[in-house]
Amino acid sequence: MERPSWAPVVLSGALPRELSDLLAIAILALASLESVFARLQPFNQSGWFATLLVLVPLTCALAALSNSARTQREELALFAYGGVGWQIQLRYVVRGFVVAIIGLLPIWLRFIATENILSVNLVLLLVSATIGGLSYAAPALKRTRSLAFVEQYKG
Amino acid sequence: MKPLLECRNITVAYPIADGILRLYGEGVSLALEEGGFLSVVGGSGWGKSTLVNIVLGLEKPTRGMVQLDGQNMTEQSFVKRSARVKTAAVFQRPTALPQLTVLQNLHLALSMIGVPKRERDERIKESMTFFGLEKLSRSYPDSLSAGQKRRIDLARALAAKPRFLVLDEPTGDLDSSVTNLVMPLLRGLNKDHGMTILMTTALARHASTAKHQIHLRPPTFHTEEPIAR
Repeated sequence: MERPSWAPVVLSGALPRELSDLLAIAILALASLESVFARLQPFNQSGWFATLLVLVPLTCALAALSNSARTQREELALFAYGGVGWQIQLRYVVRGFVVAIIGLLPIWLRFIATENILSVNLVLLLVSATIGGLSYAAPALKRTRSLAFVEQYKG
Repeated sequence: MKPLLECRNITVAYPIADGILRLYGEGVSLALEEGGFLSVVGGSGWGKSTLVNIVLGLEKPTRGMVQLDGQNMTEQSFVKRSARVKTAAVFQRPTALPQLTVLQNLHLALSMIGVPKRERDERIKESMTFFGLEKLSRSYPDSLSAGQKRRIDLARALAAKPRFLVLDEPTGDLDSSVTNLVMPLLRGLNKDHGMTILMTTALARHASTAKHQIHLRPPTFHTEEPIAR
């Protein structure tokens, strides 16, 4: 009995493997290392969170935008295979989230080493990564909702 | 007998500079019964791909109605239509995920529609052998020719074992040797397996593979206010 599933759509694309994703991870990792080694006090919480709220979404959105040609082909194929819009968006949200989580790893590790697991700073970090995921998915959302999208199926 | 697909008075109007471009004249109507094989024939720019998109639910017509299995599906998406009548589509432009190999693409496509793992392996092997893709299974789509990409699309569609197969110019990028393979295959799928097939083509000799044909009219230009879509 065949039962369509959302899991393959999301999980097959969860891991970042494009060059633009790796560059985004590198940028976030450098910024994270900088904040860890500069011993910014978590710090000055509101300032630190505000910086993340600017840096993470912009970096993730830039990574997604700079790879638009390939991701559009990805979207066209996934729709042709029977994927649904929300599944494809979730695929990108998860990938962007993973990019942000890996990039912010130095900060995560520092928090885990110095604070309670459920500290406010860790929650804020998680919020930043989620916003990063949403920002990563935003260009695809705009693209797939455009009337011009299905024109790409034509020769 | 109730048609599997019925399109009634479909028209599409595209706003362009100084007016509108209208496809299908006063409207195109077609009926395709279960187990039928219909070719839609027309020149370049006459709306063959647009009609395919309308049938699949990827585009909406300006006017007209699309029924699947007796139910009005004009406003429904591809996925909802496919849930009612299991459908596979081969588009004019090859569609494969560039970051996955040929084999991974086929596995993903079948896992998305819920084919169990063991059956997936069998179907993919059978389909790839048929289209001569065994040696390309670990290749990435970007490294393949247009004809090879088209064969991947065909292999993927056939492995899905759909009830309704929609093909937009399926031989567009294929050389004559593969075309000579594909046309009898489509005839066999229709005749021996009862698969319902809708195919568009610009070539009359390919259209004759189907049991029935309809011919589209060329688009017309009108200098009037665009019709809201």
